Amino acid sequence: MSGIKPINLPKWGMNMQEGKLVEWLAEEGEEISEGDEIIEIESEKIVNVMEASISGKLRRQCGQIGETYPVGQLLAVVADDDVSDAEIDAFIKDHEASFAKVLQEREAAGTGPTIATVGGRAIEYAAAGDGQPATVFIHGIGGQKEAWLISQNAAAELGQTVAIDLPGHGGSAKSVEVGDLDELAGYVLGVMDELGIGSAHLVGHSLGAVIASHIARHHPDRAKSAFLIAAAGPGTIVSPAFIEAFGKAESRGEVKKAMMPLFVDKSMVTRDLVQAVLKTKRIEGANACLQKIGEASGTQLSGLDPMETLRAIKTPVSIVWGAEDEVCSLENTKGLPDSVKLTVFDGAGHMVQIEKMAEVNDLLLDHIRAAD
Amino acid sequence: MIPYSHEMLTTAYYRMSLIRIFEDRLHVEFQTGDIPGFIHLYAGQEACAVGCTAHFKKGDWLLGTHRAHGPCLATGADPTATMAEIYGREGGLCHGRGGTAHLHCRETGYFGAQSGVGSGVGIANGLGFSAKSRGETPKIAALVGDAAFNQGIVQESLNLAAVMKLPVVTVVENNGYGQATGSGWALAGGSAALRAKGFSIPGVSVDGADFFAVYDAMGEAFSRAERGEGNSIVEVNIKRFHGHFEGEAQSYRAKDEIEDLRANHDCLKNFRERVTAEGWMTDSEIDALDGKAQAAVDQAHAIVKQAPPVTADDMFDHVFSSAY
Amino acid sequence: MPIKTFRQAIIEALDSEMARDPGVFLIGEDVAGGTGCEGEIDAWGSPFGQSKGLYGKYGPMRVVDATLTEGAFTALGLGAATQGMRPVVDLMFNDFFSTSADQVVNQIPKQHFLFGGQDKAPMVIKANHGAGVGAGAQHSQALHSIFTYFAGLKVVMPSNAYDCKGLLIQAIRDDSPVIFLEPKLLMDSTADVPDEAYTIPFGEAEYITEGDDVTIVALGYMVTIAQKAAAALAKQGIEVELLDLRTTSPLDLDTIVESLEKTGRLVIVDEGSPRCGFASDVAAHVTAAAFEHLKAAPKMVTAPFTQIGFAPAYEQAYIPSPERVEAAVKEVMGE
Repeated sequence: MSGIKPINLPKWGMNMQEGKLVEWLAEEGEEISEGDEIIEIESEKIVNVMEASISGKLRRQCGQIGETYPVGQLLAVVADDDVSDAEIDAFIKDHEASFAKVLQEREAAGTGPTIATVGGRAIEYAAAGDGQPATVFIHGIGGQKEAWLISQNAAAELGQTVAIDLPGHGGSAKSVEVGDLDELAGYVLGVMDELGIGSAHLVGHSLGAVIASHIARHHPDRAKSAFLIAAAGPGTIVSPAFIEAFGKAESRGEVKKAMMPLFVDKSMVTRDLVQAVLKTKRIEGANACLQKIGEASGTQLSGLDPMETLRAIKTPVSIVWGAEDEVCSLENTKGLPDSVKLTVFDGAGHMVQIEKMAEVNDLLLDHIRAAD
Repeated sequence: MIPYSHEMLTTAYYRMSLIRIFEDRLHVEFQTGDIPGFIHLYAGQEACAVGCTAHFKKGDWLLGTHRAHGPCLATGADPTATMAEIYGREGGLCHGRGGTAHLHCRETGYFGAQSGVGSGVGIANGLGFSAKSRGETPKIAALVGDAAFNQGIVQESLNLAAVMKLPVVTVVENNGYGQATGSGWALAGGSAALRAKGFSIPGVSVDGADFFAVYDAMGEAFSRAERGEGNSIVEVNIKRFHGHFEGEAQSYRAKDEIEDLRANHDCLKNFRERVTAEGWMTDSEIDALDGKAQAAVDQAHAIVKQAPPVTADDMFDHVFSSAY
Repeated sequence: MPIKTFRQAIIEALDSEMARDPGVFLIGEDVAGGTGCEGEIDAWGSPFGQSKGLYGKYGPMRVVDATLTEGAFTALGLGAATQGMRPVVDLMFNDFFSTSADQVVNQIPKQHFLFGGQDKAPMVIKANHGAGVGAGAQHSQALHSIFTYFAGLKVVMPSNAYDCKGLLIQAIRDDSPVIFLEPKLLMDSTADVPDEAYTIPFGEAEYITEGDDVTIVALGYMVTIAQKAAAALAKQGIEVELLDLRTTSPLDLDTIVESLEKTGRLVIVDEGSPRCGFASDVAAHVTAAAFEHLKAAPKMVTAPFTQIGFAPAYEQAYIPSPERVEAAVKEVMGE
């Protein structure tokens, strides 16, 4: 059956298990070329566009809008006109049979989370790619490692990547000793140690950026560079109203409201996102843990000058910010040292790496290549 | 060597006298129409409840029935707050929520009746289980009438307490009647205590006109429970002086039964005869206690009559014990 | 995150709370199993395995096999609760509340009220719920609306393993008495369930899907049914907003109204009776609260007004199906 080519649900990131078909961007009968956008797929609450890796005529759409499929599922068939429908049917059937076996094997193998024990605490992480240079992703308060999926996938083409869940978040322990930057940095470095990563490009969002800059300053041998999103160094001013509302929010309605300031496009505070935050917050100890971290690594440092940290960092630093950030105002970038490359995006808020995902990913890859 | 402490004797007599005066007074006052609903009077049965509570200290429990006034006062509950609850006035034990049949006084260890008669025997098992879990030994006595004794919940609970060896005593107040039905007919076997044999637990029957008989039997039962040997039945036989509820025609009773009861089966009279004969107390001591009881009832009534009726302003309070 | 069954979620919730508070104990028939017998103790760990392993960990005063006397052991639970313990009374089948009806409807909901707030009754009464396993008319009923009737009881029914653990932990910690219902057909369903303890507040509906065309409201196993209908409707271009109510008492009316402000159309899916049932209750309250938003009268998809025969065909006809839900949606859309 030469001439019949499958299009399967891709695996974006090591931990991706499944994806939901959101929309067809190419119709049956259409000629597609490599690089064309063909399908919108949602995974880990982020919608991304799948590009064709082959060219030809899209003969059959196999997936249904709104359905969730495992990675590897046959979504479409590309073939020349001279291939009959019957042959395509047979191809699909064959694929289903062999794929069923693959799924069975996957089930048997199990898919446990990857956990490192650092300082007596479980820290969950997701790793993808291998080789140098390594890149480490650190989320902010209320975030989780899965949000880095697309960016991590991009960086994984360059080398090893790892995204961690900070304590109090995702699959990591819901407690901290004091929650200050030294402790939080320790968890990041501990996971790097576990994976044999000597030094890496550190990518951080919000609190994650503050942690990244802290490591770059105090452990320069571990940081090849720092890519900071929506925060600078320790002392970055975070809206007290946001912190209070987010900390206090208990019901779904309250959490949704508290998260509104994060985006310019308020429709991005989706049900799924709110659910994910709610589930984390409701775990025993999580709220208290978040509060400790918020104080020790945030409000208690408000007297510090973030620029002081940035000036002390010897390795390359790039900063990305949303012009309409309501949580960490753009004002925080005043007085940046000249060595720091700042990019500001209009029409984006605190979650600039989500609202301007493609552009920020491009910047990130450029940053990594340049810094290396 | 007096087998009973002077303190116990005075407290016991005081409480029995208080109950008698309180109940006989309500019998009169009910006819004025000031008391809402129905009341069930305990006069004549005083020795039963007091025979239990005379053993009590703080932390011990008496679980009652709808015939609640006597047992509630027997634990030492405040007569004014008790009367206020009965009248539905401010200052009542339960904020007017429960009324006459559902008096409840956590402070003195009186656990109010719930609806289905016999419920206390079931709930007592929970108090017993809790005590056992904690390694504590409070005295726990659940009252149940001779008619209610036939309820499924009572028989189920006797069985459960027996197999779990729970430290509870089931006190059957056999006053001869289930409303207007005689227990001579309704209680198969004729005696509640006899059924204890079926559960392999002790069961005794005592004369409820004799305080000391009740007191001694309860003492045995409490000791057994404390030793970890489990539950038992104490059946107390004494007829009530008033009707099942106030205002009912007591036509089901023999003509001179009540006269006979008051003359010959009065636990207060019997108590006085016994303690004076033995030299444990004097008549004037006892008279003084009667006087004190009378004063308490008079005072309670005076206060309650002036107290404002409970309003419905707080009707949503206490529905849930937590935010709704 | 680890994937666990609904059954495991129950065990974990009980385990977590029993470890945290020595006053928490489980009582019911065969919650250990084996008492008074010569074989294994903890032979069953509840008839559907929802407490397996707990006896070995906590012993006979925490996992308590009771005699076949629902009234007596429910009353025992009430008594213990008034003394500061937190009993979890397992009635096994929600139909069996009938043999402890005096306790469940007359006593427990009133313990706090009747005595003017002197006592609390912080207990959970749990039981399985619903038809679908061929258990016959007296072991297959959906009685959540009956319990909802009594002010003083909170009534909870999870639709998935994640909610199950959080809601059961919440129920045990709640100072009011809580009826916790476990849909039989969900026992083996799975979801991501954290290892740690967590709570989910009562009276908070969850959005299962979002959509502009119609609001479907459901609870327990009916959420699964409604999800199937929603998927089928999505392929036909109808966008369903599916709300999982999670608790009937308290009821999250606000979220239903919020959804109706967008869709204007309501379908209620309920396994209970069409008379004096939960669907009727929601329909009436929603209509009163959101009449101006309604584009059509609410539609109720309930069990038929009959009993549940034993033969599979009877059961199939009894439990609301995705097809019936689809049809109701189309009706309310005026198609």
